[in-house]
Amino acid sequence: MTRWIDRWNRYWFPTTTTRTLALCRIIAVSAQLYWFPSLLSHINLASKNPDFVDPQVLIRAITFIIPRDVLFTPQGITTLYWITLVAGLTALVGLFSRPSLFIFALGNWIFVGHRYSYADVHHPEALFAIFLMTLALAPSGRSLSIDALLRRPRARNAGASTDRLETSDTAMWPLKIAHVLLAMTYFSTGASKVIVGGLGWMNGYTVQIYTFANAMPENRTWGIWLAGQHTFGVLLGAFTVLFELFFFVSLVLPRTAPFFFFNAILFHIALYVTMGHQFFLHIILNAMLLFLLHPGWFRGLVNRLNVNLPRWSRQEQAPGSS
Amino acid sequence: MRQPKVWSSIVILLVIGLHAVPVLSYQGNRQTRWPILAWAMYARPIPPGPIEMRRRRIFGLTSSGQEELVTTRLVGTNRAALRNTYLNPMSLGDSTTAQQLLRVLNRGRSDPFVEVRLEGERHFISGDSLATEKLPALTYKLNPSELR
Repeated sequence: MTRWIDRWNRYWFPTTTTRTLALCRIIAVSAQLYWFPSLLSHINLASKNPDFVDPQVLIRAITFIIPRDVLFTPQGITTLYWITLVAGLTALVGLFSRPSLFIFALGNWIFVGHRYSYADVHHPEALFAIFLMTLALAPSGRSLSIDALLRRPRARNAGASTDRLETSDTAMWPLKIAHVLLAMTYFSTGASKVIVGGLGWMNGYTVQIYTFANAMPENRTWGIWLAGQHTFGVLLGAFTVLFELFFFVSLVLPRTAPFFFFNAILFHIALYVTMGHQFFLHIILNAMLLFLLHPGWFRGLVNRLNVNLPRWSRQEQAPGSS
Repeated sequence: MRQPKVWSSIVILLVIGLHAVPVLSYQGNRQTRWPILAWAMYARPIPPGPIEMRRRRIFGLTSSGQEELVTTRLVGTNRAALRNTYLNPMSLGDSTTAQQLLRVLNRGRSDPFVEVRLEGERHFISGDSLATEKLPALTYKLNPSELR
């Protein structure tokens, strides 16, 4: 039992700098502020519908305490909007970091839950929303924040070393859980394709027709072109299923992780360009994992290039070299 | 400090464990447990056949003769819900759904819609080129009893 607990702690709770988590906070909050819910569209949804159609669990829980005609009105939604926005701004600069993050995350959860309570549910925001909430439960304001700045004089006066504030054993788990959730959801998507259709998903027509159905309404040139390419359809179908099924390998073999994160970014960019699927927050998550989960790989690559590039260019310039 | 790790571990196990719920109790397209969702989008393979799609739009005609495109904003819904709840049934001749749409559109309107017309095209790839074929329009008039 102790061995399992040690393994658990080694994976989820390595002692690391809190700067990585702070960077995640800044990047994640910036992204969510950029893709902030539209106040007008939420007011429109609430005004045009006398009731929810398929209310999300979160919305049902809220309306159990606060009636729909109190919160989900133009005034209620506007108030929630501004509270969430202000919380986002204070979370970004790291002022009252954890409460700010919690209110910001919860506000966004309510807005997305509200949008998906009218017979239409989509996936792009789900994992990012969970990640945002985990930032509120971890020491995200310990570095690169106003909270950290305010804490330093107090720590110095108390005779404590300010360096001690910079590391924590609970600074990595939000990134790690983002990694695990991505692996689970990609695997789930891939497995469902194989379970429902076997190898049929890789017949080429599946990719072609799905791409065409999504590209045409938005006149996406690349998607319309791709829909006419059968061989590409077969190859992309195979790539999609294999990528989704085997992304979890990045958990088991950490050295392969950068490869999977990079391919995930390309995958989602391609989905947007060809089909208009806006998994931008997944791109952000994978980019954070690529550069912040095991930052050593990137530093190692840069160091190797710094060492080898001058040597390679000297070899090219040397007389008699072919 | 043990406590933060214990609470964090509980959250981790909860978040991961909850993802089993939508898989074990699958709700199909009408999921209500966001952000804990089943991730089975585009699972269905499509058998070999023509590369085609149908694009439909709804136009509404008001009592004063104004014609307006029926958008998600006008209906107060989202794109997929507009398609699944109204467009698809109406394209199959479902007049009850059309009446329901007119009722929704006319809420609080001084110039009510008296007719909705479904127009569309079939787009398909033929050889190396993209072809389009107009679909027959379907018109639904508001029940006279609804105007009173």
